[in-house]
Amino acid sequence: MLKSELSIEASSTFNRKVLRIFDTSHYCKNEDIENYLIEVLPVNKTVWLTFHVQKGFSLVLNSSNLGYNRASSIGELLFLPDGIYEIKQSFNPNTHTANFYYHLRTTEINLKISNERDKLYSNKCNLSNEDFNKNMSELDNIEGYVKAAKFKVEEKLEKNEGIELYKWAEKLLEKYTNECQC
Amino acid sequence: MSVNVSDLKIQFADLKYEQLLAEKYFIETCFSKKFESLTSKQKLKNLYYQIIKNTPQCEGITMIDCHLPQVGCDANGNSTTSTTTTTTSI
Repeated sequence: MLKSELSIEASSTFNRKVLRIFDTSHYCKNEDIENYLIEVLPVNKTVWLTFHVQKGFSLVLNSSNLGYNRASSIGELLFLPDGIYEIKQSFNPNTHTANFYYHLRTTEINLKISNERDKLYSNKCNLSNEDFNKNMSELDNIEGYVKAAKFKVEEKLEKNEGIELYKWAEKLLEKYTNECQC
Repeated sequence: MSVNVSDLKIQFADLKYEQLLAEKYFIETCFSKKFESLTSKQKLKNLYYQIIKNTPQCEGITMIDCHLPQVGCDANGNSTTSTTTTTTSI
């Protein structure tokens, strides 16, 4: 029995209001893809949301279609929280073709790290080389924790360790912003 | 030899978690003060460099083009019938 191979990716973005999921599946040409579904369990939610999609889809999720609020314009959209979004991808017969994924959203913390880097660069002339390198190295270290958290959750499916790494990165960043001389 | 990016990511995450254990819980790992050396940190840097180097730079649905044909499909995505020939050496 021939099978198309389903896969998705979530694009990395600094846009705090959206999460884009796109199709990276490989389809066998003569296989009918019907009732193609993407189901999402957002952070801090208990109900799965269903989206009907087609081959080659690009699905943009926001606070409105994920049920965080009702928005009629972009301005009313809320920032999507960082955390684990559980995703199911399937087509008819859905119970037999379902693929599960964890996506750890890290947009918020990545933005904070990026802002700290900007501050560090703009203050470069007021810092000694040693202090600059020390701060830069600490930001690299924190960013490494965020990446590791993402890999733990998405590649190894270890949610608890991934969240622990993420929270540790948050704590280090908090410490860094209090101590940083920039 | 081809590099499996997923394996590299897992290695990176595991090593970084060891760093967390050493820094947060003071558990003795290769990152502990006692054993502190450049090796573990350098290994993290090397792994990250390899992950970046080997990750395909594809965007959107063009990513499909980056996938090799799967078993059961030919290069054009048409289905193929799998036939197995067994040769027995005497």
